[in-house]
Amino acid sequence: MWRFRMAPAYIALLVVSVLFLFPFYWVLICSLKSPAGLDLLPPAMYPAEALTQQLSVPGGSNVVDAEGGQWVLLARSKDLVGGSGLPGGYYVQLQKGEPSQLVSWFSNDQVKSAKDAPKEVVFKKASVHRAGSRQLTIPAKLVRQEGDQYVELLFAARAGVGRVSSLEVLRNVPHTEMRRFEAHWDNYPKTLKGPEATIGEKSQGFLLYMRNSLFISIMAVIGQILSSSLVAFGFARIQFKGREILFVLLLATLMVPAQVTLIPLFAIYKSIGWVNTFLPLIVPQFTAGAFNVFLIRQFLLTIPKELDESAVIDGATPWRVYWNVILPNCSSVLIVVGLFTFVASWQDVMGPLIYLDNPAFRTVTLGLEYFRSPYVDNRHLLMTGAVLAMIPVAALFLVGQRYIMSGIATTGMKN
Amino acid sequence: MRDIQMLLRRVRLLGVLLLAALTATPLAFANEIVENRSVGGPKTTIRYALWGGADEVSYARNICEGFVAKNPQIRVDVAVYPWGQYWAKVQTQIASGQAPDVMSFFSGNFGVWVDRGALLPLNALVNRSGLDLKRFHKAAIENCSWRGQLYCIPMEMPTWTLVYSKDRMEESGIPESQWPKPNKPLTWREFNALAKRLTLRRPDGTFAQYGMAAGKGWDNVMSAMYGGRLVDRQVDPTRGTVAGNEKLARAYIELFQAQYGDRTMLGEVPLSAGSFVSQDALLMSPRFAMYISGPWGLKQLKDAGVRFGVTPMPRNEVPAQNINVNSVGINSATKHVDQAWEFLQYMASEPVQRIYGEQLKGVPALIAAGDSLVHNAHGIEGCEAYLYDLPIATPSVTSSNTYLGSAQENWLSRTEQTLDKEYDKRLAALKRVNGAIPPDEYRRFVDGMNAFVEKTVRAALPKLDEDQKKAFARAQVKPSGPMERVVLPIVLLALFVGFVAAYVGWVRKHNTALLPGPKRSNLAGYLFISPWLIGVICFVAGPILAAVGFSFCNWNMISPPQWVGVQNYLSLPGNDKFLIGLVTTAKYALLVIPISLLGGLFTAALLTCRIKGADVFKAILYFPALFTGAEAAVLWVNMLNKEHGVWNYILSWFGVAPINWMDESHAFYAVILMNVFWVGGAMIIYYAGMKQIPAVLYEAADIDGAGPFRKFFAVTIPMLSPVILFMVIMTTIGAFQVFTPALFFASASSAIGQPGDALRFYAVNVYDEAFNNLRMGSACCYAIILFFVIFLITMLQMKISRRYVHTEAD
Repeated sequence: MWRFRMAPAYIALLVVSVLFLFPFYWVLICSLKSPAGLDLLPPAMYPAEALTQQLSVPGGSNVVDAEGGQWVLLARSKDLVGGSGLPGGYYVQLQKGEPSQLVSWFSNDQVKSAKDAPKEVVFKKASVHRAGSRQLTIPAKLVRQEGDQYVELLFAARAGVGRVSSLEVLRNVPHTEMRRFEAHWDNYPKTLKGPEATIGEKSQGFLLYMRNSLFISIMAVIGQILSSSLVAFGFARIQFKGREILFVLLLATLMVPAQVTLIPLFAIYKSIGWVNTFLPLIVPQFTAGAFNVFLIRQFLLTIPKELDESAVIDGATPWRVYWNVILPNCSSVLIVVGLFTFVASWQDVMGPLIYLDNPAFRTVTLGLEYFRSPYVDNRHLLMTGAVLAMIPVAALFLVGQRYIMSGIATTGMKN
Repeated sequence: MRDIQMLLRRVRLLGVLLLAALTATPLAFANEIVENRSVGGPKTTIRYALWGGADEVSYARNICEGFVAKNPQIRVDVAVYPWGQYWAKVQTQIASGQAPDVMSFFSGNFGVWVDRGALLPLNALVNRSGLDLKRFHKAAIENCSWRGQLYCIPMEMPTWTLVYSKDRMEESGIPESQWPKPNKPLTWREFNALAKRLTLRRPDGTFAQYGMAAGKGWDNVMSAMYGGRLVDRQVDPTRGTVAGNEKLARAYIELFQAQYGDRTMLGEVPLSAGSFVSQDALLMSPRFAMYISGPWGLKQLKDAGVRFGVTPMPRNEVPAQNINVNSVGINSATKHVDQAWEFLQYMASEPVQRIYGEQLKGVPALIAAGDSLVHNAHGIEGCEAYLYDLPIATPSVTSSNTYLGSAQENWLSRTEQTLDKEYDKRLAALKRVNGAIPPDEYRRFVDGMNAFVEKTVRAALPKLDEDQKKAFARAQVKPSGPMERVVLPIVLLALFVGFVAAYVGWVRKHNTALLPGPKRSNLAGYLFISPWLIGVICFVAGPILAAVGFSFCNWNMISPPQWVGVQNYLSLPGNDKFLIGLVTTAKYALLVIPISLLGGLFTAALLTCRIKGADVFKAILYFPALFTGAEAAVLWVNMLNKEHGVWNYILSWFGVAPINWMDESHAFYAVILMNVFWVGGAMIIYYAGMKQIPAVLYEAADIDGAGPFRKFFAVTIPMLSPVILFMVIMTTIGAFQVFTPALFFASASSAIGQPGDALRFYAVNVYDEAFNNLRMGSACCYAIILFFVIFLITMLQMKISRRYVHTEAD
């Protein structure tokens, strides 16, 4: 009975789960696509390639001899009347028995503008039946919406040899028919090594970026675990003058937006020569983040006092209590702090953006920003990069999930 | 036994840390090696930076190799950045004192760098070495001078011509003898008549073909043709000359009349915005018959087999070219002035100028190097059009002088919007017979539009003047009076101190007993918290005080800060960016807080429903909240693409037309949409909170016969209120600092805040002011205000919540 009552909750959770996981599925498949695969319409839900590149040669009856070449009739069309005796329709020319392939694709922008253009643009004006035109092959792709369907139009005019050249390579087919599964696994080595023909600098890829990020993040984790636990112990277990006010101050620093300290810190680091080193990203991490201190202190409050009191009676110094008694008992919260610190440091954008300029020092986030090169179509590699950037965080989450969940739970406690 | 366990635990922790440290160390050393490789040898190394792509890399290397061969004691380190990143790079490098010795500039914006003190004046060096500036095109030298000083050596000038499609000419039945000639510019009247003839209107008022595709910068050319100018030359580059300038008014009226009257010209051409790659598509598509182009696009046109002709720019009262001189200048902070100057002289020599002209496909600035015009190398006919009249085209317009800021562009797009709307409205209202508009009816419509354009432009021009004046004023360092300089800063500082004191007092009053500890030892306590104490002094309190100080200064990180008092603060209310940032962020916070609150509560409530596999669902729902940084932004930009994005595709299943998420009106909501996927963060905390609500309360509610909803609102929500408060505060603080999506939604970090101003979040303004505009003082001022805003909102929320939030004591 109760199971039935629970059904809406299950359905709701399932729907939300699918919705929430979908972006990750999407980035995974996109990381295996080629740029052309990314451009497929409608978007391919699996790593797909346009069929254009593997159009099989249709059988005899569709092949027409004309204009000194062989043409495959793809579809008849009334609105196209060939001037060369060919029946109206969309053709692909055979070259060496293979359908002629597209030499190049237009970029997105052009597809967009062409799509906005009136429909007759392609046929009536593209010098289809004009005498005396000397035009080279101009492969082009227009994608437009007809009703609720996307239709792709390919056309090209061939250089006529002196006479009429009604040489259309035209096709007008629903877009979905033109794809097949193809996963570009080599996107990953490419991204790790760096895409070819990047600009100017040595080719640098995510291997370097991940190494840099890993170094910064690991140092940050070490720094935060050591310093935050120390400070948290001080606040939780030792009574000293001004403790309350200082703890309030600590909580208050949670409110300080990073932007306030951004420029003075930049100036300070610049004056001591830390700009373009990892130091601005690492050293502050050794000075205990307020949030982490708060987190650990909350946890320490749950450890029975008797534990360290007995140690104190045995004559242990506060340091010994911290190091021998408290620290071994709070590994779960330290793991949480470590994970949080790692994720935050791994995903930091502003810091590296400002402090790191040397290409050899790029972090993963800067790498992603850099991969958005306006000169090279790296969109697929950008997706691969995104996956690579996600892997460590996802892996840590899977491993430390239990701790994270319980750790975050503590943060919600009222202070 | 317990001791051993503890020992083991400690060892384990130590081991993990040690292992981590061990992993990290080789990583650090590996970096050293990479770094060492680029460190120079015994010679003097100068660094040269330019923008470009793979081509630039190769020819810049060639040039530098030639230079090094001649000057063996100097080494040149070349760095080529993509255009989209170049300026951001230069800016951060100059700010951090690590700028290259020699940098590329263009005439449109080098003046700003001069005024920031980043460029070395060259007159003394020119005189000393006897470089003859007369050997350069006058226009080139003029465009490298600023307030009478030469700051850059001109390299080449991309000049413009009119390109027309021969197919379109044929189709319109214009005989070949009447086509424009490469050696003879059209007069303005001839050009207009031609454009009109090449414009094909369908009976229903839509257009099959436009005579002219006018891209960006056309208005500059037109105003110059009329003898007007937007800015008063390079001598006094910040003096706007719009007011009462009849010539300029005529130019703009005619520009817009061509666009919205006869429609011989289409202003907004999607391909014109900086994408050189695709010009062939323009002429290949039968939509346009003519457009203006630099020589770089011609080769592509030729390769694509487009039949086109080239003719000099049409002339009106003054022959006008829209010249943008590419040049190289010396960083004022360089330690190697002599070597850098040596390099610049080499750049000014004939062979290098020739290479530059050939590579960048412009006219070399050195007259002698211009004989071998590259375009001819492509076998393109009529390229003399580019050189036509060049020597007398001197009164050139600086295109997009940066001092104009976006004032001019904004004004243009505003005016265009007004006219666009009116055009559509009037066109829709026209009488039609069988779908066609009667000719006389259409004539009246055109006349009416022309009159409307004239009225609108005349009314709007004073606003352009005003906007420009504002932009100039913002760029100037105004002297500030004693009131601004002394009194108000003190008042503000006192307020600040008062705030802090009030806050501390308030907290003390309400948190008297923060848990007693077992041992009282001041020394040990301070020792233990010393890492944080040091951190808070060095990295928080100190910088905050410094930020307060800087906010009273004008400071560009190049020259020393100048005390201007509260001027930065006073200029804020009149600053559009500031207001937009504030409004955008407030809007963002107001949307994100309920999303995280409702979404988090809803999912958490679902999870507490004694669901099987709750842990799995919990993990899944939380997972996306882990990725809120660059990778998420990159992913979402892909998913939200208008054509190829999966998001629009999914929406299309529900009959939603494709939305351009990346445009000005939707980008903001795209970021909001991303936030929906991040409710997991809040969910976990609410879930944990819900788990801690004593079961007794629910049992009591059961006895009272409360249903699940009743229980949720009567027990869960009140018991959860402290957690909700905490989350709302944290979300608010986070919302005011949102930055990453804006960075990745914009085309480059220098364009952050775009599209339009849609993503001009408050934190974006701080970055933009500091690292794109190098106005550190103003950026600090923004940041301090942000601090106050966050502070006030938090206080307010605490205050309000005191009334509603459940605490144990109640």
